[in-house]
Amino acid sequence: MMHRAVYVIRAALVFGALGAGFAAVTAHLYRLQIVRHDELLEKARAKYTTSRTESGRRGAILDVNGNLLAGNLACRDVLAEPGRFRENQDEVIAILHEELGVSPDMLRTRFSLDRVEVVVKRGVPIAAAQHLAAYDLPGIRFVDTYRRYYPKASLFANMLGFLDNNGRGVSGIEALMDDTLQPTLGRAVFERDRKGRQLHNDFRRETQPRDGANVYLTIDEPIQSIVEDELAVLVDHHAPKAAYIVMADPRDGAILAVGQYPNFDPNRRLPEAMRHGHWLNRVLTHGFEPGSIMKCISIAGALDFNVVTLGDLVDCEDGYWVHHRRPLRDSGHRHGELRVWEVIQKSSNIGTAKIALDMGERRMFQTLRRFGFGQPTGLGFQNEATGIFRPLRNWDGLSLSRFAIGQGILVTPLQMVQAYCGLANKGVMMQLRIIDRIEHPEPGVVDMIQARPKARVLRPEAAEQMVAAMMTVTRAGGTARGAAVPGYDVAGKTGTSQKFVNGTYESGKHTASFIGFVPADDPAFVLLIAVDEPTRNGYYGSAVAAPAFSRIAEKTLRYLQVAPTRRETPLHAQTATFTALP
Amino acid sequence: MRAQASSRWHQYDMLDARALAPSRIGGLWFPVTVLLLVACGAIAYVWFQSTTDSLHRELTELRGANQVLGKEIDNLALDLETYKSARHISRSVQEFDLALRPPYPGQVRRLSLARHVPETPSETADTLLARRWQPGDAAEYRQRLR
Repeated sequence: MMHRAVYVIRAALVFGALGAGFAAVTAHLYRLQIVRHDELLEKARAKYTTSRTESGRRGAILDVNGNLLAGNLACRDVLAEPGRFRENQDEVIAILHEELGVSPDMLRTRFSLDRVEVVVKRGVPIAAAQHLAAYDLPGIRFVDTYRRYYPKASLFANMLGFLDNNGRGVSGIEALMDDTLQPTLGRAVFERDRKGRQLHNDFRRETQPRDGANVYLTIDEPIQSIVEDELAVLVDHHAPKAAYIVMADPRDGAILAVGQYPNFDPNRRLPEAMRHGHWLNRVLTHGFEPGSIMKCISIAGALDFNVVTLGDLVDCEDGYWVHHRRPLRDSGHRHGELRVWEVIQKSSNIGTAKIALDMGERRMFQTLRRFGFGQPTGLGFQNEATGIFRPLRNWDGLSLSRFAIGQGILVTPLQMVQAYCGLANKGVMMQLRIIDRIEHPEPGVVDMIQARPKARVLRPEAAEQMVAAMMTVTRAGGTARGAAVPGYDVAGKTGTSQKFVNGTYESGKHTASFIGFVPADDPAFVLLIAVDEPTRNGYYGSAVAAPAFSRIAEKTLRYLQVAPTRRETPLHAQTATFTALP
Repeated sequence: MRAQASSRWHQYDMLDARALAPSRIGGLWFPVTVLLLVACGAIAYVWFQSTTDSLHRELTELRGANQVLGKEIDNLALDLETYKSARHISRSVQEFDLALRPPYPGQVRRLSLARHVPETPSETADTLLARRWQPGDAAEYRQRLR
């Protein structure tokens, strides 16, 4: 009996102890699994999960046919944590110098900074980064990234603009369309192992990164190439300070090409070029006195207001006339009476000034305002200049006669092209546009930018009369026979203006220009060539700009497959010429 | 005879002893098999788990390599854009004296056909031709390629 009681007590003690232990464990588990569940889960998750920020790609910029103008080059940023270097720092520096070409002095300076991590080099090509990674250097880290890349180098570079170090557009289209081109950031959460490597399971994206939208321009890359190649020839021949070429389709306001000198290569932004403002978008910001190319606008206004007709006679005073005690001369020629169309053909200052006086200030002001001078063209660029066009109340006695011949007024190349688009398009001036469409990353979502008329600037009859007069400029007896294109009727006007520097017109500094459209009756494009301070081989618009117009127009018409409107040589002769070419 | 009888009893004893031996082995066979199965299962589980992990790691590495190759292809496409540019083509035509020139204005007539969008950017005239052919022409196409 005695033994039995001892056994029972012992068993009770053992089971009691086990029960108490089990109860304690259960209570602890209850506390861990239920009471502190959320808190502990978060703690654990923080240990074995991590997240990374993912960025989409910046949208591409393409021409109207989808030729890439600005894209993204995949590359890697190389970062270093000097505190984690196992090898001698000099050895690491030697390897980095050899593989990445970063100067040892610069690396030493960076590594001595009081920072945990420093940038060794940004935008390293993937192959070079992989080569460096093969050294397996502790403390060297690689971050996948993209660098903006312009595959056509300097082509259209000033208008395209470039990005700052944070990937934001700072000029040109890159700045204009920055919000559209910008990608959005995404966040991916994943589990990691002890070494921090991503585990395959349970990978999730909290927010999906979104690529920026692709922007298609109205620019046509082959035409842009033609324009820039001819611009290079012009610059080589005349050595100007600056030169601009703008081509637009008058029927829908689409800008087809913009050439500028000086320009730059956005892939290699050389400090010298950047310091001297070679990246500036001068067609938007630079105003110039248009000179004689303004005469067509002024006289078109006179025709529109029925002040004159093309056949009316104007006394051109044998090339010398005093108005408001200031002499006005017709440079290079002395004419007596000229018909209105001859005033344009011979580019008479006196004839145009007299027609303007007949119009009166109010009508002239209305005309120039209607053609868009003194206002931005509406392309949307923030830094677009408006030129200088005084309000009517500030006009003096000379304003009317001088503004009509393009003196005392500053216009931008784009404003002038816009105005001539109005002349070429039978009096309807279309809104200039450079963005054709925006393609969003979601498949099939495309915003089309519609062409729209901006204003009716002339009656169609007045526009037709002006075009007829302008056609005589490039024919026998006109000032710009060099601008003629065989087989086509060219309507255009030369301009040569002295530059206004420090309050006076400087005799040695000129702006030579030519603007015209072709074929005259149904223009494929309006083309402006403005050359700032040509220093060699002449300075007249007819000598500097007109030949370039002819060459560009001929090549562009060929590219656009615009059939000739006039048959100057028999067709069989043309064919024979064509087939006989090497 | 008696000697024979005693000998028979002894034989029964022997028989009893022999009858007991197989039943003991039969009793151990089952738990041993279960233990072996459990051990094999555990080893297989660990082995498969390890293989899965190494495959996942390999997959991750391959995905990374694939991503890198994809990026390099994108970079090459950018290079291709440089070589496709009108400026590069016209300069190359001059440089290599290829005697090519654009068509004379009016030589090309524009037809109002629906715009053909190639399925792949690298589509060539040959592949287009191949797609238009009937299945029976495949042998001829292969012959052409040879």
